[in-house]
Parts: sequence; structure tokens; C-alpha cells
Amino acid sequence: MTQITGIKLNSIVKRFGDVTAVNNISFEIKPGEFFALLGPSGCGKTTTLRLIAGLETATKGTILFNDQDVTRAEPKERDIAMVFQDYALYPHMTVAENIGYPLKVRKVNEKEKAKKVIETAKQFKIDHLLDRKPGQLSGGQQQRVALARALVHQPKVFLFDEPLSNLDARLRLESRTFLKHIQSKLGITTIYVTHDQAEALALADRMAVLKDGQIRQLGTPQEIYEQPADSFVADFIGDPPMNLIDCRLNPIKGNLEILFPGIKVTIPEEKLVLNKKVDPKKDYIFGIRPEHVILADRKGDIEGKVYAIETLGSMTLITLMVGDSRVRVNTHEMNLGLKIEQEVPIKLNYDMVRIYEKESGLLIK
Amino acid sequence: MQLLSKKAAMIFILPGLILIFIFLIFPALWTFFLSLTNYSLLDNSLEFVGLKNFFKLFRDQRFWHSTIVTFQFVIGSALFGQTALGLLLAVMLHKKRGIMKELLTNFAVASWIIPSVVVVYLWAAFLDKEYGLLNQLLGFIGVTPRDWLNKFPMWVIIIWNIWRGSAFSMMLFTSALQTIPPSYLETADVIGASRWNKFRDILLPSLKNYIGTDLILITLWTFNLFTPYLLTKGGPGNATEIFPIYTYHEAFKYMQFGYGSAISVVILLINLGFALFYLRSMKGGKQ
Ligand SMILES: Nc1ncnc2c1ncn2[C@@H]1O[C@H](COP(=O)(O)OP(=O)(O)OP(=O)(O)O)[C@@H](O)[C@H]1O
Ligand SMILES: [Mg+2]
Repeated sequence: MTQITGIKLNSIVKRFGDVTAVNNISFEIKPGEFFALLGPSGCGKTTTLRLIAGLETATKGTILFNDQDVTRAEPKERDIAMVFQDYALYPHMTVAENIGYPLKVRKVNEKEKAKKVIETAKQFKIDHLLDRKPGQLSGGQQQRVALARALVHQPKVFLFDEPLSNLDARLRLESRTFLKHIQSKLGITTIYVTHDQAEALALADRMAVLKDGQIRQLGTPQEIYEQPADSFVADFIGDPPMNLIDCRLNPIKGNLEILFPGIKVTIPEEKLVLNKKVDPKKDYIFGIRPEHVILADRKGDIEGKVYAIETLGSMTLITLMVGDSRVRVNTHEMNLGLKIEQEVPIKLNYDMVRIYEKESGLLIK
Repeated sequence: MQLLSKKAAMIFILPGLILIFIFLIFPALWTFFLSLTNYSLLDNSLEFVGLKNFFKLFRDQRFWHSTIVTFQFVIGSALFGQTALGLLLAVMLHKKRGIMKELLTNFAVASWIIPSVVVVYLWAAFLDKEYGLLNQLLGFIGVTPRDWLNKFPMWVIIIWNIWRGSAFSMMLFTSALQTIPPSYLETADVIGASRWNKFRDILLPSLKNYIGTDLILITLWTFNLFTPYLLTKGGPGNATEIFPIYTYHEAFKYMQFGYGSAISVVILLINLGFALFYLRSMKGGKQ
């Protein structure tokens, strides 16, 4: 069977002329891991993936596959498979020919090739489509064919560049589940590029959040969700997004005053322990996920005024005006009997509050 | 919804139709009519002779010789020359950048856009037995000078036409290659396909229709190309008397317009045959 590959990037830089697409990135992917590269458009995800594939050559730094330096190796020397966003199925070949193409290139004999193609097609439930041309398939079927073609020769590393972004919402979810299933079953080291944070959270064992060619945070989805390392990550991860409210912090005699625009909250200091001394003249960002804002029965920490109520099926998203800021509240309770403009008391789960320095974006709690 | 009434549409199309009729259809019909006469400027005769010209043509040694020469010229310079070379250059330069590509492209395009007359005289000078650059260059490496135009006339016009026309095919294929998504070739790279694999399995099938179009155009152009006359006058003897030159000789040298027209009609039919053949094989390629 195929040996499982671990991947290591050391201080990788990639420049295209004046543009620095990847700016000093280092990370390690463990054998068999599902690793996601997440970030907004233009942050260098695709370039990083192409560097790993060998379709681009790094300006600086080294790439190791199982401690073997492949920085300058050709793609075909790396024993990888890649699925592009457009699937790149060859329109003049049938599904069977497409799936069998990696075997044809490797000069596998006809009989074994046919056997392998059927076997793989069955695994992906596309064996009834083998005689069709890609143009006669639906988006989801095309995606399966692309996956089958990538897997037919049992590569050691699997690379995906936004493979689900061409599918509609429903199919996307289905394909996502399927992908996760296949990867868990085969245990192939996988790198998955996406700009969709939900996809990355759902699929990845570990992930890297990129911005402007640099890694902003590296960790498990849970770590990144619960403890975003900076205000960019905090804003980027989560749907509905985290509440991020500008504030000033003012420690007074064992208490901490939090000055939000238009409203002030005072809490005992030990409720919000910061790992840096607070400067009352500096701006901070107060971050709390919508599920950690709780509608209180009678007495809360603050009062909010209902701005809008949106029913999301399994939950309700309530937007409140707290002072001059909008605060999203996510609750599983359905029939709250709230009315617009109504005053409601809320409690904050201070354990889950994150504080960032406004200027540097750094996490200080 | 109909934007224009039929009548209004007719009024817009009419000028075009009239021009097409005056400059294309009428001369063609006129040629066809003349081919059935013995029209000659020598004795001003104009009598209907039926298919006599055609019977005479098929018994004419020079016609058959011209046919062979024409096919050599077309297959050599159009099919193997311009189409194959143009394709090769386009594929080799695909996704490449840098000075080599610029140079080659500019060179190819220059040889294409310089007016024929200029090109022909440049070539005549290049190939001249006494003072030609080619013989001088070959002299440096110890090759004895040759009378290229008289000794290898067929090769000269074939190579000349390849040089002259490959730029068109190259440009056509270059832009066709740009329509192929880069991910096709990159997927192949990752899979481990060789250059030959990529060419045969991916580029060639994707370019099929472009190759068909190119072949139609190049073949028809080459069939009707008169410029080699300026290089060889169809000679020596009638060694390079391709169809257009043969027609010209018959019609204008011997003033046999009726007979010349008959030759034109035959050329027209051959052209038509080629075009239909290419079109059909292109259609067959589509799924
Ligand atoms: N071949 C190239 N030549 C020049 N610049 C490039 C090239 N490829 C990428 N870039 C630049 O590098 C930066 C990163 O590009 P990249 O494609 O990696 O982004 P991405 O994160 O994949 O974005 P997207 O989500 O839009 O696909 C961008 O600014 C892009 O313009
Ligand atoms: Mg991308």
C-alpha cells in the first residue's frame, strides 16, 4: 500500500515580479492529516498549494515530503493528485477514459486499467456513467469523476483547490460529507484550499488561516474558532460572525470599566483577566461569539434593544442595539415572544470573551 | 420578438447581396459559361462548344502534369508545411515567455505581412546563383554554389510558401491554445504525462476544429496562389506550373479564354471537394 506522506514547508516565499504571493510561510502537515488552507481572495492559498504540487517553484525556502527535499522536484516526481476548481476533466474523453488517464500515462496494461477504473468508479458511485462525456454530467457527477481520476493511481498526497465552489449549496454539503468520508477511509494526506470558513472548519483536522501571504493562525478548527489569534481571524471565522465591538478599558479599584460606544459596563476585574496591562488611552476590540451572548430572564449585565429577529430554522438570530453597537445573539429557543424595539437584558459569558488590541489586532485574552 | 420586419431586413441586406452578386457570383457564372465556349481573343470567336473544352483538358498532358505539381505544392507547403510547422511552433511556444518567443513570433509575422512582390524579389536575390546570399553562406562551409531556382524549383516554391505562410497557422493555433484551460495541462503534469502524452491526448483533440479550419483556409489559399509565378514563371519548362499559373498561361499567354475558364471550373470543383471533406471530418469529430 501507499506509504503515508508528511509535508513540511520551511520559510517559503514566492514572488511574481513585484507581487509577493506567499510571504515566509512555515507549517507542517502530519501523515494522513486533512489540512485546510483558509483565507480571503488573493491571500496566496492557491499559490501555496501549487508550490506543494510543484507547479510553481519557491523563490525562497524548502518543501519536504517525508524529510526528502522536493523544493525543485517536478510535479510528477512527487506522487500527488490535484483536483482543480474547474475539475479539468478532458471533454473529448469519456468518463472511463478520464478516470483511466493517469493509468494510461503510467502504461498500466489495458486489463488492469479497466479493472481499476471500474473499481474506482464503483467506489464513487459513478460506474453507470462510464461511457458518457463530461459535458453530459451534472456538476456533482463531474466532481466525483475528478475525484476518481485523482485517486485511481493511489497518490500519496491529495491536493484540492476549492473543489466545491462550483456546486450549489445543497450539493456542496453533500459533497463535503462525501469528501470527508473518503479521506477518513483512505487516510491520504490531504491539503484543501478554500475561502469558505465553514468548509474548512467542517473538514479539517488542522488548518491555517492566511492573509496577505502570511499565516495568521495555525491550529485545529476548534482552537481557531474559540480562540482566534487576532481580530482578522476573529472576524473571518464563524457564521454568524463574532461580535466585535470597539471599546476602551478602564481599571478602577479592582473593577474593570468597559466603555462601549454609548454604554458603559463595570465588572469585577477577575471576570476578565488580561495577559497585558491595560492602557486606558488605547482602543480595544471586545469580541464575543453570538452563542455566548445569553438572553437573561430578569437581571442581565447589560440591556439591549431588539433590532431584528431572524429565524434560521434550528436557531434564532437576534440582533440587538447595545449602546450604539449592534450585537448578534444566537439562541436555540424558538418562540421568544420578542418584539422589535423591546428592551431585553443580556448576560455575557465572560470566559468566552476575547479582547484584541485595536491597533495591532493582537489577542490579549 | 421580431426586431425588424422582413421587408426592412431585406433592405439592409440588399446592398451586400448586390455586391456579392456583382463581384462573386456573376464572375463565377460567367466563367462557367465561358468554359462551354471556344472564346478566344486571338480570333474573337465565341461559339458554344458544349463540354469540348473539358474533354480536351482531360487529354492534355500539361493539365495532368499541373495537377501533380499542384498537389505536391499544396501537400508539401500547406499541409506538412504551414499547418504542421505552425502547430509545432504554437505548441512549443505555448506558456513560454521571453526573448525567444518574441523573436520567433516577430520573425514569423514579418514574413507574413511583407508584400508579396517585395518578398519574392528578396527571395530571388537570396537564391541567385552568382550573387545570392544563400550560396555565399554555403560557400563559407565549403558547399559548391548551386542554381537553386533552376535545379530545385519545386523545393524552392514549397519552402518559400512554408516560410511565407506559417505565421498565419501559428497565430491561429496560438490563440486556439489560449482557449484551453491551463488546468488541463497542469492536471496532466501532476499525473506525470510526458510532453508527447500532453500533445496527443490533450492539445491535439482540443485543437481538432481549429486544425480543420486552418486546413480549409490554407489549402484553398495555396491552391489559388499565383505568387510563385514571380519566382519561377512556372518553369523551368513547366516544372512549377501549378494550377493558377497553368490557367494564366492558357488564358493570357495563348489567349484561350474558353479553355482557361474550363480549367478554372475544374480547380473550383477540386477546391469545393477539399472544403467539403474537411468540413465533414470536422463535424464527425464533434460528439
Ligand atoms: N502567475 C501569477 N503571476 C502574477 N501574480 C500572481 C500569479 N499567481 C498569483 N498571483 C498573485 O498572487 C497573489 C495570491 O494569489 P493566489 O492565487 O494564491 O490567491 P488565492 O488565495 O488563491 O485567491 P483566490 O481565493 O481568489 O483564488 C494574488 O495577489 C495574485 O494576483
Ligand atoms: Mg485560488
